[in-house]
Amino acid sequence: MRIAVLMKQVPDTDEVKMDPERGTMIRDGAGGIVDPLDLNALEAAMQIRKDGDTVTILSMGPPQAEESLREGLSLGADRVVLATDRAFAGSDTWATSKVLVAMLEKIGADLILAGEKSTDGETGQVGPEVAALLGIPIETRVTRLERVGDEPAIEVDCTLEEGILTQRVQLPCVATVLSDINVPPLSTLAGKKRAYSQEPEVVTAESLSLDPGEVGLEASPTRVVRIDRPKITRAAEKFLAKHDEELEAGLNRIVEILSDCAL
Amino acid sequence: MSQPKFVDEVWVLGEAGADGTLIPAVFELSGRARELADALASSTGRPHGVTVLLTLDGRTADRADPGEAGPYGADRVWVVSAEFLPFDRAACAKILVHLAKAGRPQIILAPATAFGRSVMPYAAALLGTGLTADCTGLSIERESGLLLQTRPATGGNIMATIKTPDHRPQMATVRPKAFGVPKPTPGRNVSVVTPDLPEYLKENLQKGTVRTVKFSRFAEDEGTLQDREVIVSGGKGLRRPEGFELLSKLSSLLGAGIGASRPVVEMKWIGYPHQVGLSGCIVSPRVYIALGISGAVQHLAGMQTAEKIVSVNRDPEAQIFSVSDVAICGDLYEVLPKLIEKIESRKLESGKLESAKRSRT
Repeated sequence: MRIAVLMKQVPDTDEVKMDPERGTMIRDGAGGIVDPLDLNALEAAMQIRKDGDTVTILSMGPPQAEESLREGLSLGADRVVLATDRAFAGSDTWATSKVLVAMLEKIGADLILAGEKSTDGETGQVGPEVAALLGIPIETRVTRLERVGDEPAIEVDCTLEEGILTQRVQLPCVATVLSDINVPPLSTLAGKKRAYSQEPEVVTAESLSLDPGEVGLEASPTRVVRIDRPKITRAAEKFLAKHDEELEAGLNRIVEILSDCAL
Repeated sequence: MSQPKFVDEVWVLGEAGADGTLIPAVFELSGRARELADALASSTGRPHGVTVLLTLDGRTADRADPGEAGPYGADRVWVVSAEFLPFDRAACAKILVHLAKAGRPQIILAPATAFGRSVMPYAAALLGTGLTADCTGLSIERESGLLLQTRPATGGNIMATIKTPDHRPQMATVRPKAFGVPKPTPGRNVSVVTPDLPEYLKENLQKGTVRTVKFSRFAEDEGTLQDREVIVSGGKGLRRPEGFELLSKLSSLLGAGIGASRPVVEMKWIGYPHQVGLSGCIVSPRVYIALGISGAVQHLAGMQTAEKIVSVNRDPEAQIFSVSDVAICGDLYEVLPKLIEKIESRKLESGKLESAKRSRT
């Protein structure tokens, strides 16, 4: 089975602090990391892989993304292919999907895995869009993934709003995963050595035979036309619990707020 | 009933819940679509219709009342049903695409649910058009007649307004409860029809590549967090998984849902459906009570639009305090039992009051 894992480099939001006045992320000093759910997708691939299977990581991003993608190699992926090109800048999800599909068509894949959504864009659209462009089924919010014997099929559990959906899907298909699916391991020293003994492969619009007019901002149907920064800071009434009277006053405020709807 | 004819339309992709009835977001979006259609009508001088497409599960389709969308603004409701159909996202998308190619709507909206967030991007890619995820604001730009799609971005701290200038339809998924369900207008004309589908699509529905094995519903109390008026949420400050027992004592007193921050879900103290934040679910309850949650950006983005936010944290510098209305700085194991006690005595009081009232009448 040829498994492809779609990966995205995102800003490390755990390191990011918020500017309370402007309500924006202070990105300075925050490094790039692999989107956490994409590591769950990779781990799902590692768990079902058998001898003879291949696991390839595909990504689109700036050249610096190479560094974070090495984590994928250290965790056992066979190859990393990064599509990087100035022509790709400003891509929306549709334009991104086109590039990923061009890569997938080139390398060939039976099962395509990805995180359900990224922590920065958080649209969750690339997985279904890739599936649509390839004309294959999509499963989203996957929290269990298994092979069905030797059949070219998988069985998945999808955690939906009201329950767990169990489905069998013929390959090829795309599945996007939630963090519940597994616990990605940390990379080992041996893994890190392996990651640095190998270079991520780089592809461009040209090597993917994509016309610059079909990719990037120009090919993106959507346009961001305005950015607003709503101030999210609220003037909190603060109460220190170590002072009994303050605690009492604070608890009374909470009960007051709750009495409007829950009491 | 004659079928209304409109050249220009706004469409809604609707859905039913596990019990078979239409989810409230269908009425909410029918109302919003109506407003957008009216705005388009006033800017173009042509009447715009609202069509709702329902792709229902054949097992429960008879429990849905498609005409119910009428009083909220729909002129026409299309119903397609087949066993497990909504779970075959690609099949639903292909039906939508087939109808949209013939009907050429200006706009297609869907709730940003698991269903909408899978079917809409699939359909948008097939239609070669743009899609904006998780919108919280929608309006028509006066001069251009274009749909302005506003969504929280970069961790929910920025509101981005997005347009689809040159591609049709303009598509958006909309966060449920972003607008609220409007007042229904009883007696509005609505036609419920089964659209004609080509043979290849019907065949596809019967022997697709996706087969549903089963659907196991959550127990009532595990229900969707997004629908709760009050959410009590716990984080690392609970210090041990048993902390959720104390927390659930409070939540059951309040009839509240239980939320959690990412770290405690990752430590498996509680299941994923409870995770609030960017990588979990985004909630907007009337009251959000954050207990032992420091307030990482990724969590704040999932709850900062709550009407009131109450937090308890030991760290006086905790980020969560900056988005709180009431902040108690202290150990939650000291604060929480006292809060529970207060609420219990309050309930007892009002209970006595209630029964006194009842005995008087």
